Amino acid sequence: MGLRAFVIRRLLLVIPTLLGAVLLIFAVSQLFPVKSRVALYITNPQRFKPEVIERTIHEVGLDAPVYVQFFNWLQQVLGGNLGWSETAQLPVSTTIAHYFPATLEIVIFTAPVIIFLGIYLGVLSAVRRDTPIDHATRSISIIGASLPTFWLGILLLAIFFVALGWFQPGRLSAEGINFVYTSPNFIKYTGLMTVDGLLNGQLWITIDALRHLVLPLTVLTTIGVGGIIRLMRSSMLEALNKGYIVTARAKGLAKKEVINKHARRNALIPTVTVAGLMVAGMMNGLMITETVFAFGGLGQWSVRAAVNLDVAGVLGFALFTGFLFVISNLIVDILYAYIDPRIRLD
Amino acid sequence: MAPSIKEFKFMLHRMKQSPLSIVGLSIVLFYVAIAVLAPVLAPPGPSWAFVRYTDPFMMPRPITNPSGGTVTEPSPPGPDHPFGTAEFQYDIYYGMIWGTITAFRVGLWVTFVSMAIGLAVGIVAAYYGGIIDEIFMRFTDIILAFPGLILAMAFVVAFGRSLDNVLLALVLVGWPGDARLIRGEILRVKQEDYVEAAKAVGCSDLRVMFRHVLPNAIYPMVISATLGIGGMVLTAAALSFLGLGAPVGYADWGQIISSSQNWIGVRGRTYPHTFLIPGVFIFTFSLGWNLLGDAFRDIMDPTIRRR
Repeated sequence: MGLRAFVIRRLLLVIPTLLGAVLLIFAVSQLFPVKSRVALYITNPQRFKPEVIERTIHEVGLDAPVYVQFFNWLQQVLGGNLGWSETAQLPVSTTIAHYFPATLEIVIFTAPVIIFLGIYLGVLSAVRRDTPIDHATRSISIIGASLPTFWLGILLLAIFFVALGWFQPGRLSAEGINFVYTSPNFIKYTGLMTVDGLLNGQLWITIDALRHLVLPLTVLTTIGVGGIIRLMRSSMLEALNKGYIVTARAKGLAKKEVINKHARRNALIPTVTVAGLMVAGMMNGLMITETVFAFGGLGQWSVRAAVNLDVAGVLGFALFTGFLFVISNLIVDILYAYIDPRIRLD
Repeated sequence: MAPSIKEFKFMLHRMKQSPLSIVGLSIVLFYVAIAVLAPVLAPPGPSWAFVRYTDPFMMPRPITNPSGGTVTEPSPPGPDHPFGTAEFQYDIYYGMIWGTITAFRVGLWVTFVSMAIGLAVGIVAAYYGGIIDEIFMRFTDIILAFPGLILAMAFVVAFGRSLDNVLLALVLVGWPGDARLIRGEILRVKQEDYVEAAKAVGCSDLRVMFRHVLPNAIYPMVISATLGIGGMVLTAAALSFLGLGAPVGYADWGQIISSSQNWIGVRGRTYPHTFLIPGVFIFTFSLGWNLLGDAFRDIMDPTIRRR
């Protein structure tokens, strides 16, 4: 089938998956007592009060049969209402929109580093197999996979913040925060401090933001790059053994061209899939990294919500990240089909 | 000599050859020794314990700070406390020793149960195919639609905060991966020539499944299980660190590091012993299993076994 038919089919498959995801979160919500679940439906905290809570329960339909509850909730979620977050004292959807830019900023800088560094080191490792470079890279890979994320974060904080004073936790320095949030001249166009700093002509904000990104980026990269290195290395080794590579060399093509143009391109195919899976890994790692570095993003808030048993917050966050993950997998699948024509024939 | 015995001996031979696999195995055996010898290495309730906890997994702590600070402040390694104490004076050495048992409990239990469920579901799905396969795979897709830690966190919040619930949550999050893995392997092996040959000769379905398909489909599971133990301990440690797992005072490596966060940068000090020591334990434990899993992967994959 052509690419378009594949994309359409894949898009249609997303719908039952998303529906199932909502169903799973709904099932988890059923584990909580009725009074806790009220927070999932309403955005006005006044309706929680003990005097009116029984009426709210009835209004919202929590005393109706389970399937009715589910349809009510589904309708509401599709309308964008995820309930009220106790920890943020805001509606959940507002909270997510509020904290998302910080998380996005980390991802925008970290993901390319992990991907490109991983690809480069993986190819290097494969081409110079069994040399010290290969061993060093594989060591990085396995060490990164064995390190606890939070431990690396604390370690770096202890060294670079407390001992050396080069970097600090948080998203901006105190002056930066003061300026961004109180100065009338600073307009938050995107919510990303690096970009907004440039757009407002305040370069020091951008530099400040970048400085605070260094440590979280280091932690996430060290942990995450190993997987990409390993996959790229093995798929590159496989590609280098293929017949067409020998043919290309026999024809007289330069080694560099063979590696870059032929082997690497084909070895990239499984790496694209892993890059998609990496999104999930990053979301996991972000929860921990943001907490350790007090970055003020979605991950840190979600942990706070979990610790404080903020039902709507936790479930809303899970739903949101689930959606993100499904969409990113969709993109990866389509990308994969675009790169590798054999997949479309499935 | 039966081929399977010869192959097994070859596997042992290959393992002895690779230095990294020896390192991995040594690390794992080292921790096994600690876990087994825990009551001897760190007897529950020493003489200076403030509270004699009945649960050996609760770390003992002295009533005053041995190095003279406040009761909450961690104290560095000293005569009574080889690894020092953490916040609230919990003895870190005790926590490390008994934490090894906790780590094994987490890693082995979660991996084993999640693999058992995954095997059952995967085999049934691959064997029957058709609508049963579709239903099971849709179900795994739904769970796999969420990043693991986040869904595990949601489960823990729902079930209640305790280490046992963390284990349960990790199993619920982990079995779909195993199910998909075994199902994929079975489907791949089913297409191999030797399976068709067995059927042609007249083997029953059951015999084909258990004698031919499963033994060849199982080794990726073994590799995945070994690598998974390391990852499981990291995830459980992360959940404990975030405050969602073991309660304060429980001998769990991640939990001990959790309280160390409060003291980083206080009065310009970092109290390194509170996070360095538990962290090294978590890291090396996970490293051991990862090295072992890597070695298994290199050795068990028939296509690169005898390169």
